[in-house]
Amino acid sequence: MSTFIELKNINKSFHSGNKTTIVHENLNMCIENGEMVAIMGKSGSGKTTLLNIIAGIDYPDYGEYIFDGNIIKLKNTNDGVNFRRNRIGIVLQHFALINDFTVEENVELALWETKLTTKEKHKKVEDIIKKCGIYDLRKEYPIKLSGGEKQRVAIARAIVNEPQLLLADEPTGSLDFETENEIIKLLKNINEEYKTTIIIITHDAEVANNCSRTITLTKH
Amino acid sequence: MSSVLFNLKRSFLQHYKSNLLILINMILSTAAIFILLQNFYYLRQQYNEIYGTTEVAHNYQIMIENIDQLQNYKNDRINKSPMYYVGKEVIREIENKYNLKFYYSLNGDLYPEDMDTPAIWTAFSVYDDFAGCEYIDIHFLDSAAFDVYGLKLTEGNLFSDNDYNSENTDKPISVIMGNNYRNCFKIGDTFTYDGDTAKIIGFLESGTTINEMGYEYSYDNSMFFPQLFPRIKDESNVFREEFSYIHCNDDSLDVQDAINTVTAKSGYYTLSLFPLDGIQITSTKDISEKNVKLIGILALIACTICTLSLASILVNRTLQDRDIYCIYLCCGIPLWKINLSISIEMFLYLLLSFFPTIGISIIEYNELIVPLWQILLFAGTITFISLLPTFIANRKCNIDLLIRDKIA
Repeated sequence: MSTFIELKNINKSFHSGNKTTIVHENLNMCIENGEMVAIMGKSGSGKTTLLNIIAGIDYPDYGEYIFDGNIIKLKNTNDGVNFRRNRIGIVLQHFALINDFTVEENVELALWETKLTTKEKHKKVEDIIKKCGIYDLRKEYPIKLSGGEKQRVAIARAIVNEPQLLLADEPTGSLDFETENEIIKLLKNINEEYKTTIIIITHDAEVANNCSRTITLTKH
Repeated sequence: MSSVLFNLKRSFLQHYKSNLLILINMILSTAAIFILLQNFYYLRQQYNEIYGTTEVAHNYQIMIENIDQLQNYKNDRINKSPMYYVGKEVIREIENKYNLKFYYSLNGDLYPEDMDTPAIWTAFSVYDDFAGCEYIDIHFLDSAAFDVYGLKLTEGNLFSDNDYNSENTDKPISVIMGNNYRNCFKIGDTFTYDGDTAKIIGFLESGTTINEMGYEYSYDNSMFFPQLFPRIKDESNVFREEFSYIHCNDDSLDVQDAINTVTAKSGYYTLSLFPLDGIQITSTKDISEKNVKLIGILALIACTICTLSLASILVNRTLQDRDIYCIYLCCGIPLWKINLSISIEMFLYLLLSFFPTIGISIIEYNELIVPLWQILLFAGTITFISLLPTFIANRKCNIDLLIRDKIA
């Protein structure tokens, strides 16, 4: 396996008035291509900040971020959007689904900016929702779905354009034990079948145990 | 473009109540703009009909409406014209306040019995078809009139202050002659006029004319005497001196109104005007201008209220949609496309808002009085200004808000 993500001497702090909070100081990290990594740590340890840096939502104060062999230097929100498009899929704890869209439409959202034809988009959506086990729910609105089903829709949307990296922030945080296992199983399947690199931010040791590696962040 | 179209469809259906309010707002602002522009065009057309084709008068005849009221004149009607007293008592104040030029100019006719110089009579008299007799054209002018008419001498001098002195009866009467008299006379020559001696002090330039009531009159055969010619023997001539003239260079000044302001303030007798070389500016123009300004202010207030209201609805709608926009960002849809989608949506409402206005105009006037592009320019500006707070609010959209679940 080759190095897919490399963080070198990453420093990140937040300023509020006269108070400066150092979140990361000389953080170094490597993630191999096709790995499924769990990032754990206490609240305030900088897990979400790390996810933001990897996703191009936030920028480090100092240090180097290398993604698939390229040094990433983002200047604004649009740079971040362009960087993420077709490269990174994001799954969030609270699912981030649009309640006015059906399951199909929610998944298709990630294909809006692609150059695929409508037919190709529909085919892709159909394939991915079958893969995620929500084909029967394709015409339903999120409000009628259970937590696990919603998370499956969110995962389907995150991987529909075949990203190289899937970032999941507490994907099982709002789910019961049984559903959590189903979601972990789904993520493992995606990792094995599509060779997608997956980074999961979690508090849950059970989730971390299912990953190939766990990185633990400590609070400054 | 599919992200723009999908968002348009979503926004159109999801925010139908806000959208209806937005549409009503736009209809109101478009109507307000239409009413302003329509009134402006109507008033401008009205103004052009009145003032556009004819030149504004620069010279007005001024007279006192009831001459018997003028007490000073009653006691001295032989020696002084009423305008002497009007000028003395009120005209100078009008002149100073409004930059008007008061001048005295009286046309007269000279008949054979008034003079004993047959050579002049033979050479310069003209036959008046209407009166059925011959006469020589004479004028009584003051120095201001020479300025106003732009009369220039080819030889000699203008009247001096002394020439206007009515008490100086021993001195010959000064006279300036038309250019044709140069063939018979020279400066310093005298002739008898109405029992008095007239002495030539100057000659006008050749081809001197004056425009009066749209006609050009040649002054080459005319004679000019000083204003308030002091030795009027015949009281019947006095009636001709009951008016004078005002010259005004300001095309926008309502001269009658200016004079009324002064006479009303000082309690003076009413002076009335008659335009000589164009049409009289009346308060119609003032009313038109005031109307345009008033309508402009009302439209501005209406448009401001509409802009604020529109901006507030839009921002509110955008804040409701913030989580959706963050999800869009998460799915690789850039912020500018979200803003583009909102702008296109507003533009569609803007176009829709035109229909009631166009309908009213066509029903009422059978035509679109105001050019569509002008309404679009104003209404488009309102829409653009209303969109600015939304764009600013959208800049705060960030996936981090979504990740940390911080969207209100």
